Amino acid sequence: MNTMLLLVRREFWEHRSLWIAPLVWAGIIVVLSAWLFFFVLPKHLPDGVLQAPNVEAIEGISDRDREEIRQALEAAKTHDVPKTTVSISFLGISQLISAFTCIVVFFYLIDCLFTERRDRSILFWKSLPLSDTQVVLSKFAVALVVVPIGVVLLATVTQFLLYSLFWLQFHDTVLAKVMADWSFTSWMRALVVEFAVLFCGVLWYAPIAAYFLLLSVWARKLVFLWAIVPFIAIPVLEWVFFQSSHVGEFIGQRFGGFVELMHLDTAAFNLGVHDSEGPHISDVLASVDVSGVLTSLETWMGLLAAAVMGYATIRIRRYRDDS
Amino acid sequence: MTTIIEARGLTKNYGDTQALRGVDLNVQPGRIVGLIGPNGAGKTSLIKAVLGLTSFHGELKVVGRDPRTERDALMNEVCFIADVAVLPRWIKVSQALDFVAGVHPRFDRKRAEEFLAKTDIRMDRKVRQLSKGMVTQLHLALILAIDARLLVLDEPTLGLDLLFRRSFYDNLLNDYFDKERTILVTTHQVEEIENILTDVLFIHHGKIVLDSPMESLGDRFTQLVPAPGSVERARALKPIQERDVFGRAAMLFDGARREELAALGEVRTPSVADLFVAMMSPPDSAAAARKEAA
Repeated sequence: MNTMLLLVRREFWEHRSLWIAPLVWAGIIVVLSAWLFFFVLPKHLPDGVLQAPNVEAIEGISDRDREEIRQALEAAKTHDVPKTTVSISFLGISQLISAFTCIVVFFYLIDCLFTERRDRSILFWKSLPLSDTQVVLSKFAVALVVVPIGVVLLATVTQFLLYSLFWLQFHDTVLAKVMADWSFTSWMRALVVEFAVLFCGVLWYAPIAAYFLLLSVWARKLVFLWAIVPFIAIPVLEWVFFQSSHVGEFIGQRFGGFVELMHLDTAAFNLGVHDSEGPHISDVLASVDVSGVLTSLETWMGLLAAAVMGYATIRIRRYRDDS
Repeated sequence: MTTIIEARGLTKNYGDTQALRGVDLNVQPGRIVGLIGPNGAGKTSLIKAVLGLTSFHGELKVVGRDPRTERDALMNEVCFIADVAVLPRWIKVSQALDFVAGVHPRFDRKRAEEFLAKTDIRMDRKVRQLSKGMVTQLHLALILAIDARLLVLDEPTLGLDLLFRRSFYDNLLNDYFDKERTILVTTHQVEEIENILTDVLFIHHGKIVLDSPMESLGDRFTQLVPAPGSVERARALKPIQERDVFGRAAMLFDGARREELAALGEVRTPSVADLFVAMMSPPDSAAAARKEAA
């Protein structure tokens, strides 16, 4: 266990972008949000909105605008928006950071077993009593366990920061009504959803991660092209020669299919105060279903493919003789 | 005591090329064995086989283990330095110590730190910030602190200046080697290590062409610079090599009686480098050179 922890630590020594890039990205989100809250919104909101404790007290707006704002706040109250604002913003931030980190992890996966061959440091690692299985599993652990958990934690911190900034700027204004009354329950539910999404996402994306890792240990050069081109070229060639799109659909399904299996309705995340038609965030939280992913044959076929590619990666690293 | 390396009929092919052709080897504990051969002779293939880094045919046991199936366990007892440039360039000195200390049960961190304290290497430096000589010192510090039974060195001082090369082998002898440990070393700078070797192995075209303790070389090989009138008589004794040195013939004999040669001219024990040149040169190169000169 200690060896595995050290191997994981080693990955973060070597691939510092794994933790620096998401941190910088989260920092950018916080700075942009602060700019929005403190400079953009005060400038663009109608005069008097930020000074008014309620809608009636807002000065300098038309009756029509005043009525719209009143209706919006009423709708918000009806839909329990204050208690779920935290959830929505939390998931939104988490998605932003996750998407960015996926790109970072992609580069990590295609690079980690390629660079050690290119700079011949593989000979140093192989001079130590470490099995190839341990080494390859540590790379999987970084990509599929450690970094995803880090993303959730980072998203949590980022959300707290944004929430604090919003509170600082708007707590004594009419906008405070659309800000969450602090609801620990709704936050915890959001966290549960996030971990559920994370768990299913990891299971679902495992074969894609395994494919990139296999390329990393196999490709002699141009590993980036090997990673990208098949996803584009094969669907295009299929369309050109057979006028069909099965491969493209399969690839699309492998990238986003688990959301459907979890019964997550992404429209819920776009819930606005004017929108009373879409599903409510509370309904979404209640309907998150991990079993949909766990009972899907596609999930298990994907995991089987990941295991086969993982095994191939270990064998190639063990027996490849080009150092 | 277990034989450290025991090989029988080791063969290795790369496509149509035979890198090893039935190598037999027996290395005992407490020896410093020089594996010497020209480029492409099979040195690295043999070392890779010993370290379990490549597939091969034949029988091979290293510290009693099969490198093909027990490589991970083998690395507890075997260390190697492939060459000077394989330490990852991104790693800090302190991280390298942390890592090896964490994964190697026989690593003595204090010993490595003591060794490094005698150098200019700072703990917070990355390998990419160190000179080539310092990288070798760091690698050596890591290796010396491991209580291994076999140390394999493949061109460990390639590209280093004379001071670093000398210091490398001094450290190896003074801080590492003892009667329990064995070192297998390949290098092109034969003359620099021949005085530390206990055994010498010449490999050529994938075959071991000489396997001898250093102390036996003097009994077996003799170099003769015949007196001007004795050249033809010396040639009749069939030297394995003849070359011209300052206009005089110098001949190398394998198994000839030293007293008989002494009657023909000046005799001395050849160096390992002399033997290497003699045994690796094409058999008739000296004769061809003489004809050309004539």
